[in-house]
Amino acid sequence: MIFLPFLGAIIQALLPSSKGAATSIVSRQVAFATSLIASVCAIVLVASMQTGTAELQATETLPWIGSYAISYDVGLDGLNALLVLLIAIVSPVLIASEWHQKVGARGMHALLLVHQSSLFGAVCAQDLFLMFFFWALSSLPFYFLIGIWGGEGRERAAFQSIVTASIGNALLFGSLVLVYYSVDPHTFSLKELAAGKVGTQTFPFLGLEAPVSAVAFALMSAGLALRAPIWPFHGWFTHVAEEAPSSVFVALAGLAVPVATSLFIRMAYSLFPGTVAQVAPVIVIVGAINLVIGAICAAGQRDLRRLLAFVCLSEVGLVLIGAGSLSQAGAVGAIYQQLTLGLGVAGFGLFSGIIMDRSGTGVFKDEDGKAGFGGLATRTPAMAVVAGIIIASLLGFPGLGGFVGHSLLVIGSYSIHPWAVAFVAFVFVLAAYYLLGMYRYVFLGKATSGSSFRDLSPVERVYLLPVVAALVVIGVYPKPLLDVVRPTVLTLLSVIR
Amino acid sequence: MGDIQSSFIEALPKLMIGAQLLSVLLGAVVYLLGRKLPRNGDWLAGLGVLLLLIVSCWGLFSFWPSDVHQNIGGSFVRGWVGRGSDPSSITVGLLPDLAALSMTVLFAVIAAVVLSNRALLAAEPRAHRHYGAFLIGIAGASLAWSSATVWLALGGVFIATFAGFLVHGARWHEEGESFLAIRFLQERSWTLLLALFGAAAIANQGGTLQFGASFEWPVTSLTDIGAILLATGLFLQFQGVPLQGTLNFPSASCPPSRIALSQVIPGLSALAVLIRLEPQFRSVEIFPVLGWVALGSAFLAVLAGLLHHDWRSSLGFSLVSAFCVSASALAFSAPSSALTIAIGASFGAIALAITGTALAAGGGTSKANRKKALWAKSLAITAGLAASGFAGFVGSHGFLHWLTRLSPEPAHLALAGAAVFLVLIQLWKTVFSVFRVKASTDIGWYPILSPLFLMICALAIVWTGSATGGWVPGAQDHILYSLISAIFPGTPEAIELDHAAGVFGGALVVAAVIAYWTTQPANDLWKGVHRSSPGFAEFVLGGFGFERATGAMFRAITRASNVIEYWVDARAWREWIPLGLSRSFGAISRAGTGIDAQLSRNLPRAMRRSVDIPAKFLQLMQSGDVQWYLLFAIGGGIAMLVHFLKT
Repeated sequence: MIFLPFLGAIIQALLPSSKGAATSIVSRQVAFATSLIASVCAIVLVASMQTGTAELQATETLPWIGSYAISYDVGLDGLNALLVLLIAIVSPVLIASEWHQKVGARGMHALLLVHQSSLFGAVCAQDLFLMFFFWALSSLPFYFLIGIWGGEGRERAAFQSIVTASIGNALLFGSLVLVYYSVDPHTFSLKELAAGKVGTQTFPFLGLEAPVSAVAFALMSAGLALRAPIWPFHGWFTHVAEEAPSSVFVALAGLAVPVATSLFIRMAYSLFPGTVAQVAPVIVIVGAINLVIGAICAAGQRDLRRLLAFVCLSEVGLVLIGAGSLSQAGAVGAIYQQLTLGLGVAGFGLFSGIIMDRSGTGVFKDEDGKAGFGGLATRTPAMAVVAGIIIASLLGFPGLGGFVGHSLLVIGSYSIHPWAVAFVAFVFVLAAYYLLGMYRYVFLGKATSGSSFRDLSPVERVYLLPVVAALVVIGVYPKPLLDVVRPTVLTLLSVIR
Repeated sequence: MGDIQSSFIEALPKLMIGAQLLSVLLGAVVYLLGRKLPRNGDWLAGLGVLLLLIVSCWGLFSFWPSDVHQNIGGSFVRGWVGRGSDPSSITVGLLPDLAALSMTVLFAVIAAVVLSNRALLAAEPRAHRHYGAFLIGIAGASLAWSSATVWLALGGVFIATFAGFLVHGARWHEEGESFLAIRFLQERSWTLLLALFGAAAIANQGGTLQFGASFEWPVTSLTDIGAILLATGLFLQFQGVPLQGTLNFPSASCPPSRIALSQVIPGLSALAVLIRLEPQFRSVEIFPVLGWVALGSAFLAVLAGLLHHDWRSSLGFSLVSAFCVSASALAFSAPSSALTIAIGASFGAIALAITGTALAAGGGTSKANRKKALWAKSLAITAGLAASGFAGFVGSHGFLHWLTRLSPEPAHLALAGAAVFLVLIQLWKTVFSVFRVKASTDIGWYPILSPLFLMICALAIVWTGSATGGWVPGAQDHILYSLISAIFPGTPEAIELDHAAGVFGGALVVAAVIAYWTTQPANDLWKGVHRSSPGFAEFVLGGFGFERATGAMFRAITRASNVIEYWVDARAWREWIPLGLSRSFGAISRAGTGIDAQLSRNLPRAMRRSVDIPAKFLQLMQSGDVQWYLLFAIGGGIAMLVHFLKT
């Protein structure tokens, strides 16, 4: 599951570089097949997980760098199962969405495969060094994907993304090194570091005794905040939204961002339970700021891609509120919301990418508030239905994935942080305003003359189907997934309490 | 036979949910693909309606009248998100009791009457969307009534409301209609969101959110807030002030289906949850406030309705005010009062919408056409009587019970009486507006006479078993078994109604006379008010400033967004941070380069100097200018001197 996409990427590099159609088709098929097989393995793995247990499942342990107690240690539990599912659903979709890429398709597919491998590795890793290795690796493909296939300002956006990611990775690594040296014998193993073993140690810093747990937590949070993104460290993210191809931005916003929040929850809950118990209100405040400012900024957008970037920012805030609530429903909701956020953002990014490919622009209303597209529903009914379902899920309409995540977050956070829930209510009202408003500007109303839009092609229908179907299925029948998540969350929360 | 009956009863929940899901599915198929189906897919929609009707009727007759006080069929509750036993989990379940089955029959009848009026929908460019939306709407409403938990009921309300959006969206290729459709969905989703937040808050506090069982919510301030949010969210489904945006804008879509799907069906669905949770709402003591807010809202809706000249808008506001009175009746009286007022008003409003549309179709002034118009106008008057709770109609039961159970405080009585009186005036103003649409119509006889079915369903005898709806004291007019008593078994029947009936009857007649008198075509009082106080009229028709306020709020949010984006995204991230980084890296680089240059310059010099002296010294020794052994002698002498000085 982890290395198959990587193998696919290597095969892409080894294929002959002739420009023949046959080579091109073979390369696409190899890329898609390796991604799909890895995804099927992942889905089978998650489906075969035992429910009602917090134990790590499907584990694999191999020594890697023995002298530093670094091992290849991976496994599945309630915290990462949904993320594995998300990566498994979205990654092949991204490759399929770039099926007709004319410029350097092999390179793009290879980089997307590397990204898939690295994200699988990052979420499954049970060794901090291994986790960092995969997580740092996942930032690298974006530099090339944005820099080569992006828009006019691609160089700057790619540079911004890699610099920000590097700073974030450096901070994260600093945190992990602190954790490594804080225990004796030194180890990167999550199992051995879990349950607050990092909690009591201090180290001298500028004449003060700094607690390792607090400093490492701060460094880890700052490192992941730069990649999550958290306001106001999000500027690179909106810039990438404007410049990156839609599939690449989906890979970033729909996959890398949920993985970042997932890593935050895993490390915070497992490594720093004492610190998390103390700073939980701060996490909620940061989440609320993200939520509100993301929504306010989204309300002012006239461009589909920037709107999506701010929707993502706002949804990350929601996840943080749930994670900081330290309640069972809130934490389960936060983890569930990562899946629905990823699917919703992926769907939104893909259909907006299709619209932009057709029209050459993502501006859905001009400065005077007149519709940029208008009336697409009559010409592209299938696209209108797909977009409707995705937007409904982002709004948390019953029967779709967003409803389950949103409800759990509200139920879990209400008694602990009622003010945060009031912000959530405000943001939902605002979201109904700007998302439904966008839908009207794009799909409803009088058809604008002269534009030749065609509806979703068979390939587009095929790759959008898994995303939409997943949103419906996890909205209608969330029980199996929640049964996987709940025991792990309960175990971790019991340590925090 | 008995075995078949009992197995049917056992299977009723499954059959109900199956019929509802199938109806939603068929509705979606008809909505999306109806254009490609024969007859726009009306037969498929009819099939769905028939299915719901058969299941609910069979359920009703299976038990009637032996065990009417029991819940029909087995009910079940399951955990959907979380375990069913955990109060904070989201649960689903079905409770197909008499109320659920009766209301499902009612929804099916409404759908059947409107959808069978092909002549009314003929003007619609996409009639299949109305068929599909109807099927989805009634399935949602049926689900709201037959669910055993608040969560599933809210899901039903959402589906019913979504059908309202779909019917508004039947013309969404038109600019104004698409605006209305989205506005409707925004407003309804805001109100549902409030209700969902309220339910979540109650669940968070450990409050049970199931129907059909006696329980109390925990007494905490957070539970109270949750209950207020839930009740407010549900109440606002009636489109009370301030969320009346869609009623203030004209719409060209077919009035009967628009009224039914955007007002009647969502309103009755929301009423299901309010009625089912009545004991809990009463225990947290929010009903008195809700009752007065509902009356206030009814008053404001009346004001808006009176100032609208178009009968379609006026009808919408009449229905809003009637639903508000129904909510007030629930708060001050009993669920039976609320339900009967709402049923009467709903049937009356749909009948008025059908007759109004039939008359608006126009046609030549032939004798036959004038005869049809006369029938239509007669039915409009009958619809007015049904909606306003005249003797013999179901609404009278609710109005009379509500009046008798109001607070005995004179001020309260006067206020409530005034509000209801105004509601009646507004209702009759609408009736006369419909009455005066046209004097002839060449539309077929079916649309003219179809409201008769609705009027029959709105008769008091069908629901309460009483011929007059409670106008005769001592229940002497009760000639059939009361369905309402069976649905609400705890409701006391015998109340001294004679004074109330007199007062209400008088008020009704006076209201009708005033309405007729003030809406004379030559001397329309309300048009006069509009002309003489345009500012006031504008304020009222603009949602009492709500439109302006929300517009200003969203403009302010957009401005805030622009400001934040400008400073954070455009300036900080695209200018200052790159510039700062570039300058700081440049400065560090320049400093490094400078140091490097200095080092490059000075290091060889220093090296040369440091090497020069010993090198020259060694050179001197090598050349013999300095005798090297002298150095050892001098060094040895100094060492001995130091040694002896120490000792």
